[in-house]
Amino acid sequence: MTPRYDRAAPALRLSVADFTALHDWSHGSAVDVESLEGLRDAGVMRGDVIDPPLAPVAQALAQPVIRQHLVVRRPAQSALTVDVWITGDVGVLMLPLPDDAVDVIAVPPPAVPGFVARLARLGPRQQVLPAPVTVETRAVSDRASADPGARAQARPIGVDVLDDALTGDDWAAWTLEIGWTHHRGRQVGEALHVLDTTEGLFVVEPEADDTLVVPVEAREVWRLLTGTLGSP
Amino acid sequence: MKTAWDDHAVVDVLVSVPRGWEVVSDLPDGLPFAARGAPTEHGFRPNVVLTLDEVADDEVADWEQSSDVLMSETMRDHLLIDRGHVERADGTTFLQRTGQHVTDEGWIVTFDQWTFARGGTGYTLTATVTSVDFDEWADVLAEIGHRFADPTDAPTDGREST
Repeated sequence: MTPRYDRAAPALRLSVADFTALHDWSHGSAVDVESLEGLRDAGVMRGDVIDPPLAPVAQALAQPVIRQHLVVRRPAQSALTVDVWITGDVGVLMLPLPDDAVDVIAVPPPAVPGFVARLARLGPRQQVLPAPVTVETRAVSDRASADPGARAQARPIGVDVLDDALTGDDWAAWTLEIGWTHHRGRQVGEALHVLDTTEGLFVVEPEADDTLVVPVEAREVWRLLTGTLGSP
Repeated sequence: MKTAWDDHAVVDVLVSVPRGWEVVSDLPDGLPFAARGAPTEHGFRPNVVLTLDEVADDEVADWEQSSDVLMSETMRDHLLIDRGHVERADGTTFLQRTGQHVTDEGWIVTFDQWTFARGGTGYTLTATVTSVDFDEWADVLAEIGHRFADPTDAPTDGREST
């Protein structure tokens, strides 16, 4: 594919190979001359220097203050996987496209939760389950599995609302992994697991054997998303 | 930290805001009440705004839906996050919305909004903070809404009235 560079946004559409080259270059890794040719042709690189509007993007790729990794799974669809690098200046989102291409979008950091919410299709839901329930981890992970075979053979969770919610194809399971880099380089992380169903939204807190499934309003999920921009 | 509240009787409703919020005095015609807090570290001033509309008793659902459309069409990068009705003990029904948009000044903000109609008037209270501050302010905003939507049920301690 031919790389595309919108300098004003800034935004990029690159092959995975070109993005990998940009990522490696940003990290100061040795990158052979040929692998930078596509970036130079698109105006991303000028010689060995990155085009100035993309300097904050390269900085974010190399030294993010916050890393996020979103995976949205829907039955009968390929998983949507989005990577995010955030500094104080910019949020960089990498969205996969067909044919080994990616979109790279730079946004103000406060805009990142909104992008994540749109990608996960967060919105108003009716809530049916009145209170949290503890269920067997294996049962809920199988019922919400990406593998149709595992779903077909999954045993009932034992909570009618959840069993109904995860029957058919009208649900999504998404996870946002968040990692923070502290000023001394220490990494800490956490993950937000959400089930989005016709029976409501649920925050899922899995442990080894048991999983707590908490019915929540979309506002609460939004609060959790906006909270990811702060410290852990 | 426990929030102290100032109650403001406006038209025929009560609007409670955190103590010390400045009541905006130079409002345009048709805007009965607005108040704002001190700037946050990001410089934005959390605020509440009360607006009124003429709404016939049998047109409440239309009013709610047309407001949805108006917000989605006029607010930049509008994102509706939550929307649902809440019924009070006295039978009054409130509509609560949560959303995000970008202001004319470029702030990315989250708003909580509560609306209800009574006696031919539609009341809308909107509380707004920057989205990066929403996690910190979410409980306060919820309390503003609770006190507006159901003042008889709200705690009476720590309140001053105007």
